[in-house]
Amino acid sequence: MRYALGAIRRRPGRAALTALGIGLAVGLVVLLLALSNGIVTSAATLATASGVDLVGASANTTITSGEFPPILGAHSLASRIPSVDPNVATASPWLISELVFGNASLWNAANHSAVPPSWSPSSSGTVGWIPSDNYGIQVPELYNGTGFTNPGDPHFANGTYRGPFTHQIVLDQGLAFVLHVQVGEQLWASPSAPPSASALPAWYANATRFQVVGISGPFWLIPSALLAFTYLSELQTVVGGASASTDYASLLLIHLTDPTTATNDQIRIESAFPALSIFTLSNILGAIQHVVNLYRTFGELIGLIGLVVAALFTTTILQMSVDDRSRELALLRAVGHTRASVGLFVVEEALLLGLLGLAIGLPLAYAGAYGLNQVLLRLVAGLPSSFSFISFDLGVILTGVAVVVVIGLLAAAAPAARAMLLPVAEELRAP
Amino acid sequence: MMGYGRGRALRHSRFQWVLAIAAIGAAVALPVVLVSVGGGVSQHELANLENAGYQIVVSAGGSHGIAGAHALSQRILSVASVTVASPVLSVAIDAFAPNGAVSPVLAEGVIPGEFTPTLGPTESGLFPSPLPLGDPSDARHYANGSFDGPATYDVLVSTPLESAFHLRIGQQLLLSQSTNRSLGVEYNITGSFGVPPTLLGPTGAFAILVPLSDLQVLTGYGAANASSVYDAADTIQVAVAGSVSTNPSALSNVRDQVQSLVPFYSVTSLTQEAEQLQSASAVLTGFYLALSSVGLTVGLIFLALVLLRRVEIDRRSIGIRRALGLPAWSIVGGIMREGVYIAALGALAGVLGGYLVVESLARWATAAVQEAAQLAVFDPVILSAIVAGVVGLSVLASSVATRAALRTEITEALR
Repeated sequence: MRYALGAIRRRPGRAALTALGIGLAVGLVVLLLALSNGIVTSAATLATASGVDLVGASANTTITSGEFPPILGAHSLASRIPSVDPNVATASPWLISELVFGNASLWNAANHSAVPPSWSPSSSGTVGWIPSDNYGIQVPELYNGTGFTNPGDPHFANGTYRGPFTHQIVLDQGLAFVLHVQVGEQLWASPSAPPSASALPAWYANATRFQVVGISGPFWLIPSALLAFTYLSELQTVVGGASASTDYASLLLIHLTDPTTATNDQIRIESAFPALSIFTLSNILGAIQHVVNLYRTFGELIGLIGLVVAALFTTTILQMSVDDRSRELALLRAVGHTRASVGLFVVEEALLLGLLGLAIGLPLAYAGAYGLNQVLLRLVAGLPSSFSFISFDLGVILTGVAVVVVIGLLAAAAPAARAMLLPVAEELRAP
Repeated sequence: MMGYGRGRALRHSRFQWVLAIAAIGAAVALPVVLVSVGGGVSQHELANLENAGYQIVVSAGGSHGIAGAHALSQRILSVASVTVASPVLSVAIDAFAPNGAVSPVLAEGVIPGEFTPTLGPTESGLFPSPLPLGDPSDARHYANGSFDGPATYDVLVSTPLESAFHLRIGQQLLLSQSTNRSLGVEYNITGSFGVPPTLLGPTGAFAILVPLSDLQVLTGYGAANASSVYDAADTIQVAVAGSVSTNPSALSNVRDQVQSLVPFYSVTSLTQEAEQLQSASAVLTGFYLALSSVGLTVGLIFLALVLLRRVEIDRRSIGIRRALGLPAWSIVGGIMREGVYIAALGALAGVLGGYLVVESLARWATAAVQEAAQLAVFDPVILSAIVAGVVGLSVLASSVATRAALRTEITEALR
């Protein structure tokens, strides 16, 4: 190793540039690995932490089909599924729809025919659920207000939809900000948008009034910047489907007591409820992986080309180094060093250059990954604070080390062979 | 190249050249692949937009948020230069085939006579013309908003659905808003339509086309039940007269007139969407080039070192030339010529390599990658710009070697 170190010291500029070249290539590969690893790890961690072990949708659907007709009899499924499968701790029906909201200020302005030009209702995703049936399933954190105070779903009233309408709604911070409302204030919701200010009085007359009972944090499970939450039957009443024969939901989120048997539970529930398709977390993560694979292929191509360039670069530098020291290497051979030991000097020099490259590449990759993570977190709203697009773990670092070793060994092959095959007498005779 | 003296180390300079060319080639191949594939996908999406048979889209917030779609379409049609206003309602429902097969399908409710002119050149070949969906105006069943008129219950099925369910024209297909078939209605299959390929997203392979009012009643978005959205649609696609469609300011004027009818709705022209797409495409191209710049930087450092090495080897020769009175520019020019030569060969090899990589991906990669690679566009202007950029940067890389050559002490070099 001392000999290799000496060779590098002799040409510090050249060694520095080589290490920089290797470092940039290794840094790029490590950055791409950290990104790929981060997305997969974070998605898996979040999915596990969500408490959702199975997801139910309308029968005959697939995750990638994109077409999901509504689930029927949502309220009854919440109790029927646990009775069929004792491992089901929670079966929570969620109806996800888009609503248009208007606040009290707009209502006042509309009633006085004085709607400022920039004012209009706002559209947002809305989740209808049975709050007390979300046991074990992660829901957004409540920042302000009491949240939903009634157990069950009072308006449903055993399918009659004649129970008390609570008018309670929770908004996420983003929507509360857009609507300029706080806890205790009122707002109006409708599935359709009024076309113009003149249509606002009629729109408000037909819209459903809600009272804000809570402001929540963002909710990553439904990636939307603006979200509202209300009782299932009340959302059904607003968007349609509030009858015993329909009782719609979009999805059924199932929390298992023992999540390790998810596949068995999937089969059991699907056979008991032919109107449902049940997906495990692996099915869902597999579908995500399938989509990510396209980008992964191009990421691998970028990394591979970076490595090819770095390996070619290092080969050339080592070749130059062997040329520079051909006489010296011949002398070593003459005083008794074997061909193998001379070849080893070159391999050591290659590995040393690689390690120097790693020392440059790892901090570069870390800085790049940190910056990229910050940019992506700003672009995607609603992610939990623990989410990271990058994962800079030991596995990624070890992969970086392995990459450096592979570059070093590949790059050293031709120069080492040349060093081993130097014509000793000819080299020593040369002027 | 330069006719320098041949030292012992010079024996390997050709090998170093080959490696340098290969490295620059590999580095150049990357942006060629990324920009060609990325640009091809963007151009494909852009062409889809430009080839659409409509120029303006009206949409609204909410769940199927346009209320009074039939009436609004009539109002939009009264705007000067508007030739077509086609409301579209898209809902996922269940289809029950005569052979017992059940599948969710994407149902699109349209006014047949208005829908056909909004199809672009590619799509129009996929649909029968006129659409065999009964009343082309959908006015009879709609019956001025009462939905009491006679419905024809005709349906067109997509060819993948037709094939998977072994459906035939003349058969009945039961459509229901959910898995409960007792809520369904029997429809007559009157034809089929092809499915245009879609990229990087779910295809609407299992799809059906029905009259708008039929789908509204079936799914509760008409007036026949107590749904709060009356006569709902997701979008209204608006086509304008030919002369206006190609005139951006006239098109913008029509868009403004439509917007004034529905100030709270989103009214966008496809020109605006195309501009947004182009700007997104530019960001993506920048990202690709940023990633590629790492390989190119390494390649150029490599080139600088190879040239520097050449100067070291030819130190004596350079000294003699300078002692003989050759001007500095002659020596600098020689080094730069060598740098440009290596970079140009590398860049050309990279363009060829990139092309071969894309061709390989188009043939042997996974389905999604194949699909993207098949759309790759090798734009000569962009490729020339990449080659010119690399050659230009090679001049910068040569400057290290030229500086070293010019600083060579003549007396030392000759000693």
